[in-house]
Amino acid sequence: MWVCASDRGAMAGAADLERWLEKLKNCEHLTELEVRLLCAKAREILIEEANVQIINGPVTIAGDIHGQFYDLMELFRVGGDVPDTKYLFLGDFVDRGYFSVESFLLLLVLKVRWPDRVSLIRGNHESRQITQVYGFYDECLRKYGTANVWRYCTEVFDYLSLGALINGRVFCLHGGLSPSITDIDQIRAIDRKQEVPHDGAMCDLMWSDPEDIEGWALSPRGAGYLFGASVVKQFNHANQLELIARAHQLVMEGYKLMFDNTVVTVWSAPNYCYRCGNVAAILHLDENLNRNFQVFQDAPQDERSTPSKHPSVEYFL
Amino acid sequence: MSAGEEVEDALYPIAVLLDELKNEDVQLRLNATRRLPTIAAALGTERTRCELIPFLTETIDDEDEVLMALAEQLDKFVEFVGGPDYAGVLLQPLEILSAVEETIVRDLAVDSLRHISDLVATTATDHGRDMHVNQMFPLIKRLAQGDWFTSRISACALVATVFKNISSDREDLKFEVLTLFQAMARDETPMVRRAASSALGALASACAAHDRAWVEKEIVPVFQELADDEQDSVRLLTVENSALFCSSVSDEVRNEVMLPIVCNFVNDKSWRVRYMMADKLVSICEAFGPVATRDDFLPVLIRLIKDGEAEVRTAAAFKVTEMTRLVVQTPSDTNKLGGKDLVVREVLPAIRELVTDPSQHARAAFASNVMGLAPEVGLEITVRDVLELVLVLLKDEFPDVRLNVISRLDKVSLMMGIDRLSSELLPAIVELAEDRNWRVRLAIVEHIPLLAKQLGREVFQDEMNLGDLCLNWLGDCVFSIREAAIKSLKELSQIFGDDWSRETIVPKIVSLFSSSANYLYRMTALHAVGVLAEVLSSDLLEKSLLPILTDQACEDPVPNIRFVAAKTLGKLAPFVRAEARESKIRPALKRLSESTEADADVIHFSKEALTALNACAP
Repeated sequence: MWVCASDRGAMAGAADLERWLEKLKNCEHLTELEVRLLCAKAREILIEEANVQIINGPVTIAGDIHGQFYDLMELFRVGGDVPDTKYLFLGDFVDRGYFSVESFLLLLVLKVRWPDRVSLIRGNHESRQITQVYGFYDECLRKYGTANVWRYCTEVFDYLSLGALINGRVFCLHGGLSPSITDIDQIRAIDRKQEVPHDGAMCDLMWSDPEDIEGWALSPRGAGYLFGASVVKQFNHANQLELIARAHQLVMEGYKLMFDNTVVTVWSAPNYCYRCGNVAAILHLDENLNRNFQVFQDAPQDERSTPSKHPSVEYFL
Repeated sequence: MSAGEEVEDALYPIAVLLDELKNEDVQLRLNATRRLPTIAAALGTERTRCELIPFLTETIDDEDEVLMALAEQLDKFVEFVGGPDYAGVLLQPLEILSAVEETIVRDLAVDSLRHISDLVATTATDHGRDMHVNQMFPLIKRLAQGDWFTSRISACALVATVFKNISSDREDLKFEVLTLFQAMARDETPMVRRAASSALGALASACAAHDRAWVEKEIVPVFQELADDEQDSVRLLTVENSALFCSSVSDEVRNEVMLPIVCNFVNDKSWRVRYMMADKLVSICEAFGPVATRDDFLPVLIRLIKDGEAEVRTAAAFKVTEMTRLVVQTPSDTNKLGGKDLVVREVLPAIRELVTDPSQHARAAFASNVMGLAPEVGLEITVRDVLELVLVLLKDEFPDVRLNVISRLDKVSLMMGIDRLSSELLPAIVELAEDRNWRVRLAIVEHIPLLAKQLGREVFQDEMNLGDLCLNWLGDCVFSIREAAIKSLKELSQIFGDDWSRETIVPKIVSLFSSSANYLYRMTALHAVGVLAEVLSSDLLEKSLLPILTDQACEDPVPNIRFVAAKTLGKLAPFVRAEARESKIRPALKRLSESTEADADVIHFSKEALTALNACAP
């Protein structure tokens, strides 16, 4: 147990990170104090990052994870380990699955340990409101007895980038385009350090979906928009893009190319919610931005466990 | 501060906890309940007995979660009330808990009662053991005759323990426990009959230890009735208890009364009962012995394998190996065949159908068992009869079937001669080397070194070209396959030696690095160098592999390659000669750690590698 870290000025060193990594890889959760230190360190790193991160290929892009810890492990088995393989995660790390805490903290430790090898951008589930409905809040409460860990994590959410640009040619974000954004530079002007708003550009980037329609339409999700091929064509032309990579929607085959291969949806939660029967995919972009999709299935039963019913935090007098 | 105040202070937290036991907030009550041992320890045994336990009994909660915690805690309370001699005071609250509606609470309460009863029976004084006569027996009687079925269910779960722990000089009470049980086995509520059914095995064992005639006279008829119950959920519990029950009766009763009942389960109209029969068949056979296995249960197995329900066939398929082992041990006598001959005549034709079973799960279950047959039936029968089944399963369209066969390949391949292995089994394996499912490929990759040992270099490399197969996996799209291939290559190098590695592996790694446009494959080449360094000669390393790192990888445009090169150079350092360390590795690492390098991780790993280099003996 780590006891020497006092509240003030306690910093997460490389040795701490290695130890936390070891714990999280075995799906054990960190103590509340460890989470606080990790989140503080993560905020320091994330605050330096731009709203739209500049990434140099090659890189492997992953979509929604949704707390499916053992499937995230499967993802690394297929794609390779950090830091040797470079990753970009498109958000929605938490909610729905049994292991949101472990999944998000694992990604966060990796981010802090290897800031240049892992990029995380924000999804619509990285929000205080959504996580109170779809499981992350309850999971924190069940595993720690208090909402503190949830609070630390949601503070980190506010610092996550909104998008990423790979070699200036591939634009990555969680949801989709926004009618208020025609130029990527407009995204750079957003003040992102806030809860996900109910409308406006920041909201749209996390909520919109591509659809076979002409122009724009209201989204049935109640937030964001639907956008058609012409919108993408115009946006890609104006910003000299060849591809928009996004996540946000379950696709049974793991990935889906649309609009003449100018938009791709990448989905990385196999057998979503442990019942959808879908496969998952990651997209590897090599040095020349050639696309390699790697499809994978959920981790075999014997390699994963279901969480125990008892809270792990004891009640003290 | 006076002494009195000090005591008050010490008891203050206890007062808070007692308050919390009555708090409106469920969470607080729950937390306080979990701390009951603390309260009891502070109160002392006397006050725990006279005040805390009556208090808990009176104010019994209405929240299931709190009751659950209470049932769990009371289990550990024997020491707090003053040891086994006083354990009786715990029975009252547990009796209430064992009659509540929530199953989990009841089960926990019954567990606690059984545990306390055993503890008292083994460790209390004679006086303490009277608890069974004075309190436990009336308790089970009240539960067994309770109005609400939940208490009768709990009574069923207690009969075996109470019967066992009532002292043997009170045969009258023991017998009355049996009478209570018989009444519950005829209860009109199926749930109670189900509980009675579950208790059959344990009660029969306990009863046999006292007087086996009682089992045969009093409980066997109950078994018969429950085995014929109108509810399949009751019947299937008798199946589950058959093995234990039948080992508690005499040979005569077992063979003449029980055997027909148990064999008849295979004719049950409910598939769940037949499923349970398949699942328990091995332990049932063991209870009845080899002759009954040969004459009665082998036909049962064959019926189950041909059952109309896929679930039943799947359960039976899982038992094929174990059942075959039992059949091999059966005796042959003048007019009945036994042993391996019986396997060939009866078992093999039946299981052949499982290979083409319409259910993929039944095939997968059989696939996980078919390899286990080889050691049971011996080489001759394996090659003649089992091998063809294996070959068909290896081509199954369902990946789990293929995987289940492949992952147990060692059992068969170890038995087969090289000729057979390479002519019959290997072609099928090679075909699977490019299986769509990466775990199937992984199972094969990991099996390669074993095959190499069996086949020898000539067959492995020259005839079958398995070395090339292994090298191709370095280009697999799945990371785990590439890593496993590297591990297998390392073992192959150890088996076949430096010359083979020089001719086969090294050129492939060199070309993998220089011809891969994708950094992940260049990285695989570097990983391979790092792993192979442990087994290759330093001469080969320095001449052929080191240049990839120092000349090419250190200059790579992708930073990931540069830092993996640095890591690999650190790994290589102990395995090359001092000359190469100083003239090749050190300058390369220095270059990578200089300020002209833009990537922080490259600098980090080069410095780490330099430290490793400095640690090498000069």
